[in-house]
Amino acid sequence: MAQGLDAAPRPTRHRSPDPPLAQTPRADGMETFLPVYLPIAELSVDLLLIIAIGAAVGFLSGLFGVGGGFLITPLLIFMGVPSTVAVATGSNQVVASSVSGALAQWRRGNVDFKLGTVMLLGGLVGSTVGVFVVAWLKRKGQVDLFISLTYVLMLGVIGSLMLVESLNAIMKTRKGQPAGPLREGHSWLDRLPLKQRFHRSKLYVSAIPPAMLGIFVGFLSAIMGVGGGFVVVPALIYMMRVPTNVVIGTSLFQTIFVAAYTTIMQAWQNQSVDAVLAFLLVIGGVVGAQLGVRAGQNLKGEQLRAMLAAIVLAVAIRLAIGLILPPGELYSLAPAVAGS
Amino acid sequence: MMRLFITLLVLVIPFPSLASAQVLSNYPRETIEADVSTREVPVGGNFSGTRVVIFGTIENSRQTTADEGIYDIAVVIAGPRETLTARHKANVAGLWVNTSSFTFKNVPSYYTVLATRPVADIAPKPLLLQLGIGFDNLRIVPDTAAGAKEAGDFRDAILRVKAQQSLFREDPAGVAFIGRSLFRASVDLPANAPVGEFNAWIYLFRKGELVGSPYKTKLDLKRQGFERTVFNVATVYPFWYGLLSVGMALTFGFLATFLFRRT
Repeated sequence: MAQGLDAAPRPTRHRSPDPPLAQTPRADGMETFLPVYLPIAELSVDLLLIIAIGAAVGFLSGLFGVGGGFLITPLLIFMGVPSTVAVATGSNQVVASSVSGALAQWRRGNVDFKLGTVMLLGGLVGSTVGVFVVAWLKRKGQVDLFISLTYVLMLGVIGSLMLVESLNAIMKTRKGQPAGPLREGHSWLDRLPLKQRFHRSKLYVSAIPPAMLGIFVGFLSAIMGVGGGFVVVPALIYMMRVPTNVVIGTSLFQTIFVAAYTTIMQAWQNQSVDAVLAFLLVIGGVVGAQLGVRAGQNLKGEQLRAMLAAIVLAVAIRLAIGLILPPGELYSLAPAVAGS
Repeated sequence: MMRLFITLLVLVIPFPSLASAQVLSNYPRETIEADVSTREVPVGGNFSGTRVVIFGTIENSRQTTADEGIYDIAVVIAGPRETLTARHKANVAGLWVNTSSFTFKNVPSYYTVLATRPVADIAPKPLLLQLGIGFDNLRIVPDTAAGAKEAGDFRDAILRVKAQQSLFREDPAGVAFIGRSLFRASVDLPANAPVGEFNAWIYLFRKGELVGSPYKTKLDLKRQGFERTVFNVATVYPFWYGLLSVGMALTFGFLATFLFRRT
């Protein structure tokens, strides 16, 4: 039998041992040290990395009185978490960090419950309207663009305004002038009806501006998946002239409820809350928030505002770059949304 | 007399080629028997991808050695089918915006082809198309009418993006014979592999023709333990799941404050 001789030479088919198990490529290129599987997001992430993100965002939320949703949502998406899961889980984490921060502020007497409740009532109205707008945009297929543009616009405008103002204030204190230009009267806001006394904030103003602010923030929170602290804090400081220390506690107080409402709605309607991911973020977040509140005690109001402004602007610039620079991959895949 | 002699001669002298053809047709038909190393892949808290080995044997193999190359094997593993929307970005007034999109039904969420050779060399194109073996032969057609070029671009994009996510793979050296009839292939299921039922088909080819019917088997990626419970509660009782999630967050928020007050 010579048939083996005339068979064409072929590469050997032996192939052992097996090559190493291919790791899922990660956006950040980091190795996974302690993998943990997320049942709703359906991917594996690094346990320590997630806790660290939670802690970092929690620290900022305790420091500045923002829920941190505007940071955590983009970070999770960057890590490969589906955007719907990132938005919903982010608001769940915001509940924990804002409770933790709000309690710490409350012990220092820095929460104006009356002002917070007025804003909260407006917030629920705004949030409900926002949910309908999001549903409409989803049918139009432009919800992602709208979210990005809202982020860039809101963060860009608020960040710039805050940065300019707080830098001015810091310059003034350096020159020896008192840093307190925030109590120079309310112009047209003083002439509105339904005046209420907000003891904690040392204000006697109409309930209409805080309610309107609440509606606007609730609307934004539904669209951007955030608690809205980054809007509430500057609005209370610059429009309402509420003292900075009271602003943070009050903002955190109303953020708890807006974020809780959003979380329940997202879980109920979209099943997009990943409890395992939220749990890890919360563990890091609550500790970070406590540390943030302590760190904030040693910083002056205008310094806090300048730092928050810088972070807000940085996120805005990062998102704007994403809209302007040509993307590496022009195509994107997503599970089809029913009815779109 | 002469004619009779020739006839006898014809009957007596064995024609080598004819004789071997006779032997071949009497040769028992080849069939594949195969299985996967793991039928059920548990997806629990520490799931970070797994490797499944597919091994099998060709019954009545005519190969004398593993390297002889009479047969080609193609293994196709496909995850649960999904409906995908693929979007294309274009520059509109300086911003990169989704401008066109198509919906694709029945796209495998996971698709891996392993073979003994480049798929295109194994069998003629029509057969590969019919069986859906290989990236070039997988049916991915938009739901709505699209121009040929546009449909092709979107199709390429899906293959490219899925391959980048380690969910699609084509390996022309992924199946190895380790004996005259025994072969094996290993499949990597990455951590982002969708949970659900995966089908595996094992095709046997000889000289570009499909031999027998393909061997079909299944493997199941199943959520397990705590992760399974979380998923079930989230889908079956979404409202209560939302309340629980918020409750968890509130509890830890309170707890942290309490602990920090003590220290």
